Amino acid sequence: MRRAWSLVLVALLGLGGQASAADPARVELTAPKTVEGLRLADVDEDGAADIVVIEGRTVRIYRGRKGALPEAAPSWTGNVPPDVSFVDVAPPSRLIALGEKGVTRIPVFEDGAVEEIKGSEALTWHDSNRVVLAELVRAGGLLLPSKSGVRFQPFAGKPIPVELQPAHTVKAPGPFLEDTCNVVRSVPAVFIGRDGVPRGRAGDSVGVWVISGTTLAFENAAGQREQWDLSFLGAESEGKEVEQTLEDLDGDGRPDLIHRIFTNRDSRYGFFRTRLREKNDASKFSPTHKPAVSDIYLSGFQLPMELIDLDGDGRKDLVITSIQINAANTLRALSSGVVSAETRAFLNRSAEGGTFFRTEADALVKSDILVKVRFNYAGTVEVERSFTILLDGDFDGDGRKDLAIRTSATTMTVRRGTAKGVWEAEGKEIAIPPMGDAPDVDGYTADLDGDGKDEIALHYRGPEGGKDRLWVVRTP
Amino acid sequence: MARRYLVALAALVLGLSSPRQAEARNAGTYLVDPGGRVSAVRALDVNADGRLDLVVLVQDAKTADQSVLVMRTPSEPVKRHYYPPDHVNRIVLTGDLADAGAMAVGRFGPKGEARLRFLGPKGIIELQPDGMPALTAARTSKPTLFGRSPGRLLVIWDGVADLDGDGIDEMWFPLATGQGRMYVIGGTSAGDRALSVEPVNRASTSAEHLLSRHTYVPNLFPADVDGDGTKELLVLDETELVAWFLDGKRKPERLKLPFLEPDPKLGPEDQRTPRIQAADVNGDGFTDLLVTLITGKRTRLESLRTILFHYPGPFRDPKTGGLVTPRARLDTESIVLHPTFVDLDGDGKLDYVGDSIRGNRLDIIARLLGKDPTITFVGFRFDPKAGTFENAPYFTIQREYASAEALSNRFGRSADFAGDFDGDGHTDLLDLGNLEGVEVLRGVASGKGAATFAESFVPRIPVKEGLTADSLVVDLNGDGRADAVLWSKTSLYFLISKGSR
Repeated sequence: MRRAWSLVLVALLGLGGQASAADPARVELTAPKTVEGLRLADVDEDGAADIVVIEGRTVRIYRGRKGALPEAAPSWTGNVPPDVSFVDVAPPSRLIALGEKGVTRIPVFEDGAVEEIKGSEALTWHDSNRVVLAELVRAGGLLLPSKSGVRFQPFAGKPIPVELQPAHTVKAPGPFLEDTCNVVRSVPAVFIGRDGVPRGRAGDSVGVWVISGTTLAFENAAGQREQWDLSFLGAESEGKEVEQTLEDLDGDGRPDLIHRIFTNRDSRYGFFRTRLREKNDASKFSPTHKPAVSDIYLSGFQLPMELIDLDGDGRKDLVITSIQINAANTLRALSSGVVSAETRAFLNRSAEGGTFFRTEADALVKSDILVKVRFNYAGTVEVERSFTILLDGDFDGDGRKDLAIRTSATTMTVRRGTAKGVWEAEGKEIAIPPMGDAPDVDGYTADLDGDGKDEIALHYRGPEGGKDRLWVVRTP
Repeated sequence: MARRYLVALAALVLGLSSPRQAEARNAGTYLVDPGGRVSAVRALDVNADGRLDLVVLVQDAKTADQSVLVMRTPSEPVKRHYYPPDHVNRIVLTGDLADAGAMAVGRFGPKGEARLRFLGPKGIIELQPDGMPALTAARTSKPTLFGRSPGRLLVIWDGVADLDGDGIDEMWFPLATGQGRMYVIGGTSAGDRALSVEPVNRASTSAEHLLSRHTYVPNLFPADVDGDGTKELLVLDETELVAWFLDGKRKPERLKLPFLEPDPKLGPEDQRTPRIQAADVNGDGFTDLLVTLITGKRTRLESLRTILFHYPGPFRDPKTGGLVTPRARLDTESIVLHPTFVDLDGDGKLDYVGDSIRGNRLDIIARLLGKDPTITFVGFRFDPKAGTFENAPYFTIQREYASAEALSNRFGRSADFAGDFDGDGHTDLLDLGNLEGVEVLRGVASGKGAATFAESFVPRIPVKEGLTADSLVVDLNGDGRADAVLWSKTSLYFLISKGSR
C-alpha cells in the first residue's frame, strides 16, 4: 500500500514525468521565423545526418546524434558574409561559400580559419536578401563557375575546366510601372561521371558532362572532349516548356538524357541512352541519342519527376505524381479545396537490356492534395497546393524505399517498399504534429540517429505573418 | 428601265449580303509568309517617306534561329502580299548578333534616322534598317545584361523615347557589370549617364540549373512631370516614385505613393494591388498617374473589382509636397486585364477602356472545361470640363474570348480600340474574338454620351490556323485610316482599310 502510494505521489509530482514527458519519437526544433532552405546531410561524417537550415543569410545546423534525435537548439549558427549568394555543405565540418570575393571554406562545429579556395572565379553580383543552398560539392570535388563556364575541382587530382554556354533568357516587362523585365542567366546542371571517350582510347576515369545549348559535352582532366548533337530534340514551342536532365539510368556511370516536353495538362518524357563512338569514327559528333529507349506520356498537371532507387538494385527508378485536370477534380477543387493525385512508380528495367522504363507504371497510389484556387491581380488563376509526399525514405532499414504521404492534418500514411511490387498496397498511419494554421508541410528523410533507418524532418510553413515550425519524427 | 433597275437592285442586294463583297469594299486583306513564327511587331518610318514601316521578329520553326524582317511600306501595294519582295529585307541573327538578348527600334541615327540596336553581353550592335552596320560609337560598347542562348526568343526592348525633344531617341538598359545598374545612352554623348537605379538580383538553384541569377530590371517610364516639354524617367523604388531628370543639372525627385504602403488590416485572402501607368490623358503637357487598384478576396472571383484612380499631373501637391488627391474613382467589376488609354472620340484626350472576364464559380468551372469565356469591355470618356473621366460608362460591350488564352494564364489582347478604320474621327473595334478570325466594328457616338460598336465595317474573316492574341493597329499607308497587322504561327496578315471617309 505504502509503495503504491509512493508511486502515485511520484507520478503526481511529475518526477517520473520528466523522463516520460519527452517523446523519444519526435522533437520540435527551435526554428527560425522563416525557413528558406533546408537540407539533411552528414556534415561531421559521424554516421548521423545533420539538419542544415537557412534563413536569410543565417545558417543553422542541428547536429544528428547516434542513438538519439537532434537537440532542439541548433549546434551551430553562423552568418554568411553579404557578398556570398550560394553555400553548400562540405564534409567534414565545412561549408563552401561562393560570392563576389571568390570561394571560401568555412569551418562549422569547430574553431578554425576561413580558407580561401584559390583559382576559383568570383561572382560579379550578389543576392542582397539571402543565401541559397546549392550542390557545389560533388563526387569528391567542387563544382565552381569559371570565366568560360564551369570547373570541376577534385579534392585530389587535376581540375577539369569545361566550356559551356550559360542559359540566358530575357522576358519583356508588362505595361505597369511595377512590372520588371526578367533576365535569367544560369549555369546548367552538371553530371560528374565516367569517361565519355571512345572505347580503346585511354582516358581519365572521371569527367564532366553538361548540356550546353543543343550539345551534350564531355571533358576529362586529360583535356579529351566529346560532344553529342541534341538539336534533333527541337526547340521550345509556344505554350510548351522543355526540361532536359542528365541521369545515369543504365548504371554504366555515364549520364543518359531525359527530355520532357510539357504543358499544364500533360507531359511527354523521352529517355535516351548515351552511346560512345567507335574507335575509328572521326565524325564531329558522337553517335546520336535517338531513337528514345523509353517514351512515357502522362496526362494531367505533373509535379517534378523524382529519380530514386526504390528497390535497392543500384539503378534509379522513376516516380511521377500527377493531378488530372478534369471535371471531377475541378469541382472538388472549387467546392472542397481537394483534388485527387496519382503517384506512379516506374521501375528501372535497364538491367534486363533494352528499355529503361515501361510505358505503364509498376505501381500507382492515389492520394488527396489540398488546393486553394486564387485569382491574382493580373487576372491569372493560381493554384496553391499543399501536400507532403516522401519517396526517398527507408524507414525500416531494409534497403528499399518506403512511401510516406500526408493523409490528414495529423497523420501520414507509410507504405513499406516490398520485394514483390514497389510499395505495399495498404499503408500504416503514423501521427505527426498537427498542422494547425500551417498552409503546407515539406518533408525530408535521412538517418538522423545513425541506426540505419531514416527519420522524417518536417518543415511546417508559417501562415502569412506567422512563424515556421520544424519537427523531427521517427516512424514506428 | 425596269430591267436595269432590277440588275442594280440585285447587285445591291448581293453586295450587302456577301461578306466578301463588304470586305472588298472596306478593307483589303493581304498575307505574307514571314518564314517562321512571329513573336513581335513594331512600326516605325525607317526611310522617312511618311509611311510607317514594320519591324518583325521571326523565329525559324525548325532551327529556332532568329531573324528580323524590315518591311518598307510601299506607295503602291502588290496583289496578295502588299509588300513587294524588294521592300522586305531579312537580318538573320548569326555571328555577333547571335547572343543579343533584346532589340530596340528607334531614331538613334545622328539626325534621327531609324536604327536597330541589338543588346547583348558584349555590347550593343547598331544596324541600319537595311542590315548594314551603322557607324559604331564607343558609347555603345558597354556590355549589357541581356543575352540569349540558342533556341531562345529575342525580345523587343521598349526602353526608348525622345526624352529631350531633339528628334533623336534616348535608350536605357541594364549594364552587365555588378548588380546591373541602369544606363542611359542619350541622343548625343552629352546625354549619356549611369543612373543609381539597380535591379534586384536573386540567386536560385534547381535540378536543371546548378546556379541561376534572376535579375528583375525595373520599368523606367518616360513622363513629363513638370510640363517643360522634356521627359523625365519615372521608376518605382519601394513605395516611392522617383523622377530622374536627364539634363544633368537637377537631382532625382522622390514622391511617396501612400497607396503602395502595405495595409496591416488586410487578411491573407484579401487582395489590394495597385497597378500604375503614366500618360497625359488631358493633353495639358503634364503626365498624369493612372492607378488601377484590384481589390476583393483572392479566392472569390465575384468579389474582385478594379478601381481606377486618376491623379492629374503635376501630381505633387505644391502645398503638402505629397501626392495630389485623385480626381476620379471608377469602379468596374472583376479584374481589368489590360487597362488602356486611347482617344475614342477624336477630341484629343485619352479615354479609358477596361477589359475583364467576369463570372462566378460555375463560369470558372465551365472555363476550366474548355468553354470560351466572354470578355466585357467598358469604356469611360474623358470629360475636358471636369478634367477627368466621366462617371458613367461610354459603352459596355461583350465579345468572345479564347478559352486557350484563359486556361494558359496568358490573357493576351483579343481586341483593339486604338484605330479609326473608317476615318470618321471615332475609334472602331478590331476584334479577334476567340482567335479564329478577325472583324472590325464601327464605333458610333450616339449623341447621348454613349457609343455603340454594333455595325460591321469588315465582317468576320475566318483564320483557320488561329491568330496570336495580339495585333498592331497603325495607319500604315498614311491615308488617315487605321490598318491592322495580325499574325499566326506561320503568317502575317494585313487588313488595309479603304472604306468610308
